[in-house]
Amino acid sequence: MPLEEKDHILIEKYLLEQLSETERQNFDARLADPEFQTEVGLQRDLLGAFQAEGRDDLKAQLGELENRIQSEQAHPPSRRTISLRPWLAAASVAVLLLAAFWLFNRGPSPEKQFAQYFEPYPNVVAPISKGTSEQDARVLAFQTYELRNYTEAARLLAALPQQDDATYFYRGLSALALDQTETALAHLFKIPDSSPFQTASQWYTALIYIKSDQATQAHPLLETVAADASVPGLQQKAKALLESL
Amino acid sequence: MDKATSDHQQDQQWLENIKSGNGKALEALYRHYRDDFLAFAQRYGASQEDLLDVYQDAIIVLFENVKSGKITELSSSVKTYLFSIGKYKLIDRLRQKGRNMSTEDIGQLEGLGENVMEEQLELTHRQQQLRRAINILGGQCKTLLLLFYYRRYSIEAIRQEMDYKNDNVVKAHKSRCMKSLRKIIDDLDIL
Repeated sequence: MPLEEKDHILIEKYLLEQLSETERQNFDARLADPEFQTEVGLQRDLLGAFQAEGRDDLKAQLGELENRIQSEQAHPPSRRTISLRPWLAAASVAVLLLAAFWLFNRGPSPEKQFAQYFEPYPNVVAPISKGTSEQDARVLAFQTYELRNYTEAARLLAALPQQDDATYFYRGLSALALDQTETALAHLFKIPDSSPFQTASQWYTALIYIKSDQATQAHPLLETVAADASVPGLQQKAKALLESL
Repeated sequence: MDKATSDHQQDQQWLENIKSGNGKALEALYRHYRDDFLAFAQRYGASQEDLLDVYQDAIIVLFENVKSGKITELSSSVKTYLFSIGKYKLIDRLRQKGRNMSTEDIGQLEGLGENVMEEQLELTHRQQQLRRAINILGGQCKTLLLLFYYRRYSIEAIRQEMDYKNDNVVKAHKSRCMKSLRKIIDDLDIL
């Protein structure tokens, strides 16, 4: 007797140990059929194969879970540190926009357009947590800068207990955004040669000199930037600016 | 409510959630005891990698025994059960690597015995071929059939897990997948 759908269901329930009393009687009766018997054997083996495959699948899933846990522990969301590189890259973009403005757009209201071209940096820091640790204060300061609230950013950056090249760089940029050229220069001068912000700070310094009609002082700085291949965008712009001087 | 009672209730909740096919339950259980297990098992001097591997196996044993109905209620806590399995497997593994075990450890190993081991799966030749057929099938069909036959999910749980419209769609899809699998089995000439 050829097998029907109900036979398959019966076998499945048998193997998954889900037979009711009536179904069990049906099952036992059907076992007299050799074809039914063969099918039970195949289905049993198939279940074994699913078992082996399923176990490996579950093990792989737990392995992925473990990877997630380890990555969560390595980068807890509220304690992500600020990577300087993305900031620097973003700073370069802002620099280029500024430079483009200064070079080609010496209009009557530079301050207004300066602000317009001063694009906010991409958000590279985690949402601010409730903690009051120094790390959180840093994140807050940089985020405030990002939100273009330069007055507040300057204040928060200045209040940070740990002053380093990053804080001086962004205090300089905040001051520049507020058109406090002298303050900006003072901060940019504090950035040591070893800093990853050094090239960008030289670029800004040069731009400040050019803006205040001191192109001769900008020259050596621009040459340094133009010779530095580590920040390709800046290098090209510095070369272009040198040629136009 | 005292602590023992509330722990016991939480344990029953774990088991029920796992049994009912709540996909997040096993993950939650894994996270819940992970750090405690690592701290507990470090004394055996195995690598972190081995400890995690053993912990994952212990979770799998618990899962399979809950699903197959071997465990409905634990005489011990879920934690003790998990840790016993993990410890057994760890000692067994270290022994296989030729490490000298203390007599105490070996005594415990013998005392624990088979009720903490998973059913060993040594596939027959035909089962290996059938497994190959399952992998040829692959895709959504494989996922669905594994949920049904290994994870022992209900049709409803599969509907939720795989975002099917309704239970009938799940049943129809499962039936189609089994037909495809049969076709592959026939094509491979698995007898």
